[in-house]
This record gives sequence, structure tokens and C-alpha cells, in this order.
Amino acid sequence: MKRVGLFVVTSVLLGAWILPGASFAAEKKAEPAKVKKETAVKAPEAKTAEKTAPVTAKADAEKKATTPVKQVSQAELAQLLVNVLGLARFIPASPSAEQCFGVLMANSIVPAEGWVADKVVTKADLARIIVQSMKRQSEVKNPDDPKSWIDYLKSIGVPIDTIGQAVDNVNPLAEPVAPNVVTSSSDPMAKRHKFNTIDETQYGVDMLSVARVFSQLELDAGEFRPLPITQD
Amino acid sequence: MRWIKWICTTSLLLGMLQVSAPAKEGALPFQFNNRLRVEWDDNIYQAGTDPDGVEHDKTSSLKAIEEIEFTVNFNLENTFVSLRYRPSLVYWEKRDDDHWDFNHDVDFVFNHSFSPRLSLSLTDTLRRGEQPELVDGDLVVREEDDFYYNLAVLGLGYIIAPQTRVDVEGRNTLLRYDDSVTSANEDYIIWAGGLTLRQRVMPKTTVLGQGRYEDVSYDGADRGSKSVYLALGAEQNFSPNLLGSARGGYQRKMFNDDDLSSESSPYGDLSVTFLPSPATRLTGGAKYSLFEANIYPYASQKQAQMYLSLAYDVTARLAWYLTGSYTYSDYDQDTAVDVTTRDGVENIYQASTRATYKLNRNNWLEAGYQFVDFDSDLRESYKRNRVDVGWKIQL
Repeated sequence: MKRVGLFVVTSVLLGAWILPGASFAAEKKAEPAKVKKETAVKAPEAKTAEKTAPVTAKADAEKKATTPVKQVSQAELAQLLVNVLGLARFIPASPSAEQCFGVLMANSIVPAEGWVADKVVTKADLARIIVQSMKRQSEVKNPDDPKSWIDYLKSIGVPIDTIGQAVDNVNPLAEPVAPNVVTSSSDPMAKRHKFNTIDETQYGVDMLSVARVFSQLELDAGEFRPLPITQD
Repeated sequence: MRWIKWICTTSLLLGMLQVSAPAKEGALPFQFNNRLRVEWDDNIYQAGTDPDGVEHDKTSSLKAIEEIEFTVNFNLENTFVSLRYRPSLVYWEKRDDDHWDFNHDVDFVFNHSFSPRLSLSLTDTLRRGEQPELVDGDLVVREEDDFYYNLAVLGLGYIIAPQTRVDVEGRNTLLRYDDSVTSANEDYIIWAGGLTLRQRVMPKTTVLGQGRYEDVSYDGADRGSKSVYLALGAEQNFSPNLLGSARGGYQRKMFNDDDLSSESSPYGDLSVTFLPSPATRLTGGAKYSLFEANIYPYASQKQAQMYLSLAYDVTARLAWYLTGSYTYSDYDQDTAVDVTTRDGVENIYQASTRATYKLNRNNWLEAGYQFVDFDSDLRESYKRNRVDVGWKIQL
């Protein structure tokens, strides 16, 4: 079985080398002109509001920063980001807005004024969140100025006229941070068994689970048995 | 030194792969990560002092750990699909009977919105471990532990009103060992179902009510049970950088074995995430509940757990992580299916730290240290230290 394992691992590596087209041809360059979906989830009231509050690209900078992005709530944006950033596996299925906020905050992804579920996402919020999701916040010249985050995204060709366009430029995090191993949940729908095949990261560090160690009763029953001097 | 050949081959392949990768600006539906580490483990057999006071000698070893991770994400109009596969290979230099462990982790996420109000979520976590029998001197310290572990969750969420949401979920957990002796005592299947009603009472405050039902079945001696849970909770965004949640309730566990009395207990958990500065993240939490027993022949344990995790971005390239946890388990002979056993307590202390340095957009160097202090009345107590250095690449 180990040979099979070695074969699989080596084949996968070779496959990734031989078939770069398969993975890298799928690369999508940021295309500002490309019209994408607004977002995966829309609030019931959002559709009508969209029509009355469109984003105008020529508005002045301050107005731009506070302009709502197609009336999408922060809860909806958080749920979308949790998926795209590869954090969904760390939280329960059908997560609440606060569960999404928690795992995003743990990864330093938070609007300037914090996450508020019903608050409509502004361009300034979206720009900050997208930059943080790309882990490029250190490259923003003036982090205290909302316009600086928007300008930075412009400078690298990332459009933020719609949530969909912006999120399409976000990759799963290379170093995701989540309390996924020692998540102390008592909820039977969310609790985790300490059953990891190998080290899993807890907030970036490895927390090896205690392997199955025999109990005294199993030991007495012979599982922890001495081997015969002459083996079979 | 076959493992050195393995490391060299992998490094060469990854180097070639990196050179071939073009610069990218947009997001990819595919992602490839590789993590290669060399670790020093001072107690590979988890040897220490058994419950009778007999001490066993530790064995230390170098290990090579190779993990490859593939992720495919499809973010469609109303659907999100993600598949992650991570095979990992561990070479143990000093483990003479079998040098290799091989493991597979598969994570699948499917989220779909039927309408703005109705959404479906399906997640599956599959673990396959191939861990051979371990022999230390003249003792079998671990029998063959090859296993499958699968956790599937299906959930439906419905927004009743803008501030009110209901979630209905079902969950199946399956554990299967290959070895018949281990399997007879340890294999289980757990079915759970539940309903959660969430009401946003203020912009930053949500209250919730939960009902749960859980059915635990073992293949061997009947350590199974049926449990009912009822709880109330709250999720609060205290400030832009402080988020907390708490839940508390009551659970009743009815054992399948008629000789065991039902147990009732309060249960609950709380967690807090705090960002004291843009570069610092802290998460802490605690829980208490009745839980599945980790050791035969107990059918249940009372478990309390707490943890604290810190992440700190020292610079844009250098990050430091620290986590500590404490787990307390209380086993009562009244919940054991074998009357010859006794009461016992386990205390598990774990601490771990890791630093990563981002060389460039795709490469990280890392170093870590892990410590476990496992203190048990029922199993062999031990301490274990591990130190590792490694290289991670993302493509």
C-alpha cells in the first residue's frame, strides 16, 4: 500500500509538472471590462435597491468610498469570502454570519468599522477586505485613508465595481488561520473528534492529536502484549 | 537513506514546477500547495509511565513529512463547489518495523442558493490513515491502525424574515478500522440531526435556540447511546475588533446498554476572537459536555476543554503563531460496559508554536515546536516534544 502511496504522490507531482496547461491555463487575468455576477447570494430587498443605487465610476473620491456596492450586506460578503478563501471547511455547514465573521477576523480580514451583518458593503469596505484577502495590506500606502485601499486595487488592476468582479481576484489563503483542531464546540452538529491523520494546524501551528493509546483494560486483555521470544 | 532521496526528488520537482509557473494576477480555480518538513520527535512511541507505575524508555527519531495539497474551487452564480485533497507521507527513521505512514485527507464543500431565502450546504470530510503496527522492543505499542473516518453534514437554511433564519441539519460520522480486533471495540457510526433558530435582535446581536438529537452506535460491545440536546445562545459583535459567542443548555444521554443509567448534564461553550492590533489576532474558547469516550470500555466521558491561540504578524513577511490547550476527561465506571474497570481522569496539555517567513509570493520557510503532556489514570502517561523546520510552496 505504501508503494501505491508513493506512486500516487509521485504521479501527482509529475502530473502537475507535465500538465501545467491544465492548471495554469485556467488562470484568469483581471479584466475590468468583464461583467460578472453581482454576488452568489442577494438579500430579498437588495434587487430593488440595486436599481436605485447604482455605482457611478465618475463620482468624487469621498463619495466613492462610501458608495454602497450594489446593496450587498456584509453578512453576504462574508459568506462568499469564507468559500473563496478556503475557510469553509473550518466552520460548520450553513454557518451563521458571526461564524463567518469570526474566521475572517482570525485571518485579519475585517472592515475598518468591524463586521456588521446588515450593513451594506461600501466600496471602501470592499477594497479593504479584498486587499486583506489578498494579504497585501502592507502594500497600501496610507491604511487610514479609505481611498488609498481603492487606489491600490486600481493600481494592480482589480476592479471593485461589483462584488463578483472583486472576489474573482481572490485565491484560497496559503496560510489560513482557524481554530479548527481545538474548536471547543459542544454542539453535536459542530463538534470535532480529535481524529486527524497527521498534524493539522490550529491557528497556524501543528497540534498533533493524541494517538490511540491503549487503556489499562485493553492492556490487561492482552492488546499491549509481549511478543513471543521466537516470532512466528 | 531513502527518505533523503525522496526529499531531494520532491524538492527538484517542485523547483521545476515553480520555474514553469507564470506570474499570475487573477484567481485560479486550482491551487497546489506543498509542505515538506524535517522533524525531530523525542518520543515516537508515546512511552512514559503506565497506570501501574512502570516506566518505559522513550525512543527518539527524525521524521520527514511530505504533504501535498490540491484545491479546486468553482464559484458559480448560485453555487460554490470546493474539493481539497491532501495526501501526506511520513518517514520515521528509527521505526524499524515499518518506516512509513501514509494518509489521505479529502474535504468537499457544496453550497447552493435555490433562492435568496433558501440555501443548501453539503460538506464532507474524509480521512484515511495507513498506520502500521508499532513494536517497541518486545511490546506492541500500537496495533495496526489503518482506518477510514468520514464526516458528512447536510444543511438547509431558510430566511423566514430579514432578521430571522432557521437551519435544519443532518450529520453522519463514521469510523472504521481495518484491523478486526481494533474494529470490534472502536468502530462507530453517529447520526445527528438538529434545528437552529436565529433571531437578530440588534444590529450586532443575534440570539439562537437549538434542538439536537444524536444516536451513537458501536459495532462491538454496546457503548452506544441516544442523546437529546436543548440550548440557548447568543452571538455578539462587541466592537470592531471583538467578537464573542456563547451557548448553554441541557443534554440527556440514554445508553443502549440496559445496565447503564441515563445521564443528564448541562453543556455549553463560549469563544472570543479579539484583534488588539491590525497585526495581532487572539482567539480563546472553552467548553463542557458529555462526549464520546476515547477509550474502551467506557460509553461516555465528561469533557472540559479550553484553548487560547495567538497569531502575530511581526513584519509583512514574518508571522508567529502560538497555541495552548487543556483538555480534561472524566471517566466513570458507572458508564463502562465492563464492570471490572474503574474511575479515571485524563489531563492533556498541548502547546505549539510556529514561525513562518515568506521568501516571496510562493515560498515560505517555517520552524515549529510542539509539546504534549498526557497524564492519565487509565492509559500510559507520557510527554512528547517535537521540533521541525520546513518549506512550503503555493502555486
